[in-house]
Amino acid sequence: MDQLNLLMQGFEAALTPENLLWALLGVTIGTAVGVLPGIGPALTVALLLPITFRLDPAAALILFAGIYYGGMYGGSTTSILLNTPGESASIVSAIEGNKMAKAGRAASALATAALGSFVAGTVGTVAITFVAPWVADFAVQLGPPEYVALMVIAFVTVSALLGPSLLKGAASLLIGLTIGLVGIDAQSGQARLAFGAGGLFDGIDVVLVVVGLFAISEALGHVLAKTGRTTVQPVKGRALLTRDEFKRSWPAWLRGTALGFPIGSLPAGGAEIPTFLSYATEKRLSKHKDEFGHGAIEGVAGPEAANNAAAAGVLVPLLTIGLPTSATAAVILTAFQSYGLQPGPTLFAESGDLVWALIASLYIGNVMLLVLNLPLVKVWARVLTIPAWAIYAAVVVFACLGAYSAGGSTTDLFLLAGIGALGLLLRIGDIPVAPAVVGLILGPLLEQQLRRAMILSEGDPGILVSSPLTIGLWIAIAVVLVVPGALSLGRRRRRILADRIETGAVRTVDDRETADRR
Amino acid sequence: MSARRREKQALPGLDTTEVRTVRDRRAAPPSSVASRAVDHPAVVSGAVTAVVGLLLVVAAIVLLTDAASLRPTSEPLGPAAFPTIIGVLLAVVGVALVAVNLRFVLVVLRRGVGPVSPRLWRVLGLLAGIVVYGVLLPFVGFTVVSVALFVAGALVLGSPRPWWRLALYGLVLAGVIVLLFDRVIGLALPAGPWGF
Repeated sequence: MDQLNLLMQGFEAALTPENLLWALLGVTIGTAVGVLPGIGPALTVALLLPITFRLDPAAALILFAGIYYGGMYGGSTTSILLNTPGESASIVSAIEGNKMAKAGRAASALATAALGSFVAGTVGTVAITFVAPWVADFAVQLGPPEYVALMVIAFVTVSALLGPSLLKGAASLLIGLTIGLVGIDAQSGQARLAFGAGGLFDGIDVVLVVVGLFAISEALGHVLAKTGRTTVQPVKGRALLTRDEFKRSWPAWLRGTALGFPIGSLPAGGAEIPTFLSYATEKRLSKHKDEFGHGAIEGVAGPEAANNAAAAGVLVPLLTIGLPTSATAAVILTAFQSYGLQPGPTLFAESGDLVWALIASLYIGNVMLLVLNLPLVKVWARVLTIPAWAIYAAVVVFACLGAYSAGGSTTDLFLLAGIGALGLLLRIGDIPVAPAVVGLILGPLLEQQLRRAMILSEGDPGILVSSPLTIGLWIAIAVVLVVPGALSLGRRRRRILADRIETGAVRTVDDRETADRR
Repeated sequence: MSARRREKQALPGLDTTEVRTVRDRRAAPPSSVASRAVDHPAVVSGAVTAVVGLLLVVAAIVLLTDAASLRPTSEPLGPAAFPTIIGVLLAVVGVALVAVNLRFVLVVLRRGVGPVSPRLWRVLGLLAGIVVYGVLLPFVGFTVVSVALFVAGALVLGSPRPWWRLALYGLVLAGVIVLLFDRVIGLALPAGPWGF
C-alpha cells in the first residue's frame, strides 16, 4: 500500500493544470511525429528530446512520457495504414492490420489498436507501479560483476534478436560501442578516439547518433529509392468497433498484455518476441482461423497489446537497474541523464517524487491518448497524405536542429552527415541499427562496471563469476550464443529455408555462367 | 511451397540469407542474366555489407592504435583494456562480414558497376547540404539556413513544386520551430545578423 500513497503523491504532482498541459502537448506532438512513415518511437523520442531540455525535470519527464506513448501509438497507426512499421515490434500488427485496411476496415483496425494499447498500457503501468519498487529493492544487492553479466546478456540478446542474423546484429552493436568510446575517459582523464579534435572530447551525443542513423538515413533512402513523391489515400469511416469485433478483441488484448509485460520487463527483453508469440497464440485460439492472413482483428488486437505492454515492461529494467533493452529505452535513458538523473536502484530512493510523477503521467498520457485518438484518427491519417518529399525535407531540418541543440556546435552537423551516410550503408546492407543505439549507451556503463569489478577484486577476473547469480547469467549468455536461434522463435527455420534457396542458387549461377561462356 | 521448387525459381548467385530480399527480388526479377549487378538489390545489399565489414576492420585498426597510445594507469583495468577488447571483436566481425559477403563483391567486380547513378549524386548532395548548413548556421541564423535546407531537401527528394513555393513552406516550418522552441521553450537558436 506504500506504493499507492507514493503514486497518489505522483498524481498530485502530475495533475496540476500546467503539467496536464505538458502531458497533452506531449501526446499530441508524439502522435503527430510518430504517425510519419518510417519514424518509430525511438526516433520520435530522439527528435523531440531537445524540446524538453529547457524545462524543469518534472515537467520534462511528464512531457516525455506523453511523447513516448504518443510515438508508440502514432507508429502503430502508420504500420496499419501504410505497412511501414517504424520498428521491429510493430511488424506483426502491420501484417493483419494492413490487410484489414486494404479491405476497407482501417477504422476497425485502428480502433482495436487504440483500445488494445490503452488496455495494455494501463495494465502495464499498474504492473510497473507494483513490480518496479520490488525489483529496485532487489537490484540494490547487485554489484559490479552482476551488472557486467546483465549488460552482456542485454547485448547478446539485442544483437541476436533485432535483425536478420547474429553477425549483422553484432556488427551494429560494435559500431555503437566504438562510437561510445569517443571522448575523455572519466577515470584516467585521457582522450580516446578524439584525434586531438576539441569537439570530440565530450563524446558524441546520443541524440545525434540516433537522429543520424534513423532520420537522415531514412531521408537518404527515399532519395536513393526515388520514392519522394508517394502519398496515401485518407481513411474513411469512424474508429469504432462493432459488438462482434469488440467481443473478439478484448480477450486478445488481455492475452497480449499477459505475454508482453513479463517478457518486456526481463533484462533480456525487447518488445519483438511477445508480439510474435501473441500472434501465434491468437491464431491457435481463434474461431476464425481462415481470416488470418486476410485481416483477422485478433491478429491486430493481440500483438498491438503485447507491443504496448512490453513497452511498459521495458521501463522496469530501465528505471530499476538502469538497463535499456530497446533503442527507445536507450534514448529514454539519455533523457534521464540529461536531467542529471541516473536510472538504477538508487533512483527510487533519491528522486522518488520524480519517478512517481512520471508513472502517474504514464496513466494520464494513456487516458489522453484514448480520448484524443478515437475521435481524431482521421486527422492523424490526414498527416499521411502529406507527400513524402515534404515529410522528409522537414525531418532533415528537424534532425539538424536536434543535432545542433544537443551538441551546440558546427562539428555536430558534420558528424550528423557522416553518421547519416553510415546509416544508409547499414540500411542497404540490411544491418539493424537498434543494437548500435543500445551499444552506444550501455557501452560506457559496461566499461565502468567492469573496471569497478576489477578494482574490487584487485585485478582477479574470477570476480565476474563469483556469485550464483552471475554464473547463471553467464550460462544463459552461453546458451544464447552457442545454441543457434535458442531465442529466435521460428526465425531459425526461415533462415534455414533461405539458406537452402541460397545453396541451390549458388550452384545454378555457376552452371549458367559456364553456359554463358560457351 | 516445397524448398525444392523454390530452388528452381531462385535466381542465380544473387541471394542473401534474408527472406525479405529473396522475396523482393522475386517480385521483380531482372530481365536478363547480362543485366548490371547494381540492378539486383540482393547483390547491392551483400556488397554493401562487405563494405561495412571493411569499415569495421579499418575501425578496429584505428581503435587498437589509439588504445596502444594511451598511458597505463594504476588501475587493474586501464583505459586501454576495453577499447582493445572492442577492437579485437570489431576485427573478427568485420573479417567475417567480408568473408560471408565476398561473392557479392566478386559479382559486382566481374559485371562492373556501370556509370554512377544520378540518385547517388543526389544522396551526396543532401549530405553536402547538411555540412553547408552546419557551416552557415552561426553566421546566417537558423531561419534562413533552415528554409534553404528544406528547399534543397525537397528538390533532392523529387518535389514537383517550384522552389519559391517550397521556400514558402520552409518559412512556415522554420517560423513554427522558432516560435515553439525559441520563444515558448527557450532553446536559444542561433540568430543571424537580422535577429532571427
